[in-house]
Amino acid sequence: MTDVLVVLLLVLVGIGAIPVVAGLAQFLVIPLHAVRNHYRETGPYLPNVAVVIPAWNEAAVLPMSIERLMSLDYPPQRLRVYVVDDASTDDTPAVLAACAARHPGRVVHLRRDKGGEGKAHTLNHGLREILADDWMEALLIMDADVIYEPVSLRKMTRHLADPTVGAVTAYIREGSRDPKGMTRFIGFDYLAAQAASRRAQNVAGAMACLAGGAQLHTRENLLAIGGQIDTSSLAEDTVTTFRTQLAGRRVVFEPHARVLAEEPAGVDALWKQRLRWARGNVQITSMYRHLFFRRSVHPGLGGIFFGIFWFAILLLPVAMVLTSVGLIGLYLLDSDLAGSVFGAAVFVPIATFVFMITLTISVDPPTGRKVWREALLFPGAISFVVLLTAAFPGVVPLSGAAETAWTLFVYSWLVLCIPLAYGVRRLELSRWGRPLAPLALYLVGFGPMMCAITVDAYVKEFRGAAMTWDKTEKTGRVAA
Amino acid sequence: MSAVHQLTGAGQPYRVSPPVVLTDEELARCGGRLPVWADPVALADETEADRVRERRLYVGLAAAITVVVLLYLVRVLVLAG
Repeated sequence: MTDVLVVLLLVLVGIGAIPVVAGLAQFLVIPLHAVRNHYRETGPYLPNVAVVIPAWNEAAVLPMSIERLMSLDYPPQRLRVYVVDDASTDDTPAVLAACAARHPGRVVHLRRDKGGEGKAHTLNHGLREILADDWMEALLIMDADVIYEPVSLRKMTRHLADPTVGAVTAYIREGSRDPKGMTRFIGFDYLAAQAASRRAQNVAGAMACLAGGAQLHTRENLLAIGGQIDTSSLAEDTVTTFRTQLAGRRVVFEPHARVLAEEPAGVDALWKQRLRWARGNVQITSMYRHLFFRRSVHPGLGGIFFGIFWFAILLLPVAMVLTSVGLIGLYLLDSDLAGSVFGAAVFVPIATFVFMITLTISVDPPTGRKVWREALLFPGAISFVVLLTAAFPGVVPLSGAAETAWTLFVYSWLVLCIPLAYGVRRLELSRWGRPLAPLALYLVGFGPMMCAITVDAYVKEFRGAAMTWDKTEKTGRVAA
Repeated sequence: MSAVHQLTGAGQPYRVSPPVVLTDEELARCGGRLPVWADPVALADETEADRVRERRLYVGLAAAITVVVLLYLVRVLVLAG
C-alpha cells in the first residue's frame, strides 16, 4: 500500500514539473529564431493602412499617440487614423476635433452615442465604417495610450508582402518615463512574455495572441474572419488570432517593431487587467477545446508544442499544488526519498530560471539592464532564497526540528505563495498596508501573483461572474 | 491599389504596393533626402539588418549555458565539500 502511495506521489511531482520543463523547452527554442524567422519572405510593401483606436475618456493620452502616428516614418498619404469615441464623458471629443483640424482627412473622429459595451463593440463600430470604403488595405488595431516608434509600422507591413500572412503583431514595451516597482516587474514580464516568448511562437509556427495594442491585419484576413471582432469573450484578441490561423493564414511577430504602452502602477489595477486576460484564456480554452493536441485541425495550434505551452500557463497553479502535495506526502512517508527526489529535480527549475533571465535580457539588452533586479526577483525574494538553498544544500547548516520545519516550508511554499500573493493585493487596498505593498510584492513575487490571478479567474469563471470590462486608467506616463 | 503577383521563377507569390513618388515639395520637407520608405533598397537593407540582429540570440544562449554549467559545478563542489 505504501509503495503504491509513493508511486502516486512521485507521479504528482512529475506532472507538477511539466510546466517547468515546458518553460525550459520554450527558452531553448528561442535562439532558433536567428535562423527560423520570416524575414526572407518579406518585401517592400507599403499598403494603405487604417489605424483604428477605441477610446473611452482618453483625452490625457490621445494627443500624444495621434501625433506620433502622424509623424511615423511611413508614406503620409497611405495612413489614416480612425478614433472610435465610445461616448466619452471627458474632453476626448474636443481633443479629437483639434487633432482632426490639424491633420485634415487623416484623423477621423467616429462617435458612438451609446457606449460602455466594451472594447470589441467599439472596434466593430470602427470596422463597419472602415470596411464600407475600399481604401483600406491593412488595418492596425491599437490602444489609445500606445506610442509607436517611427519605423515600427513599415517593419510590420513588410511581412504582409507574403500573401500567406494574415496578421502581424509588434513588441509592446512598458513605457513609463520613470518605472518603479510594479512597472519594472511589468517591464520584465513584457520582455519575457512578448519579446522572448513570441519569438518561440514564431519558430513553432503558431501564435497564441496578437498584442491588443499592436495588431496589423490585411483586409482579406479581416473579411475572412467575418469582418468583426468577437464580442462573446474577454479575450477578443486571442479569438482574432485563432480565427486568423484557423482560416489558413499565418500570424507573425515582428520583434523590431517596438511600441510603448502605459501599464498599471499598482497591484489592484494590475489584478483587474490580468484577471480579464486570465478569464479570457479560460474562456478560449473552452471555446477551442476541440483544437488542442489535434494536428489534423491545425498543424501549429493543434501541435504538441503549442498545446503544452498553452496549458503550462493555464494550469500552472494546479501544477504547483500537485508538486507541493507530492513532496510533502513523500516527506511524511519517507523523508530521505523526498530529499533525493527534490535534490535530483531542483536543478531543472534553477536552469529554467537562468535560461528565462539570460535569454529574455538578451533579446532587448537596454530594457534588460533597467529591470535586471526585477528579473531576479520575478518569483519573489522568498522563492529566490528557497531556490538558492535548494541549489546549494548545506550552506545554511540546519538540524533537528529547524531542518524539518525549513524542509516542510520549502515543499509547501509553492502553494503558500498563492494566497500570500492575494494578500499583497488586500494589503494595497487597506489604508495602513498600502505603503507596505511594494515591499510585499518584492517578497512574494510577480510570478506567484500571476498564479493567484489565474486561480481567481478559475473561480470567477466557475461561478459565472459578470464579464465586466475594467478599463486600466491611463494618465500619459509613457515617455515620448 | 496593391496586388498579389505570381512571377515566374520567384519562390512564392508576393504582394506589391504602387511605388511612392515624392514631389519636389515633399522631398524638400524631408530635408532633400529620400525617406527610407521611398527607397526599396533601403527598406531591404533595413530588413537584412534586423535579420542579422537576431543572431544576438546566440549570445543569450551561450550566456545561459555558461551560467547553468557554472552553477552546476559550484553545486557539485559544495556538495562534495
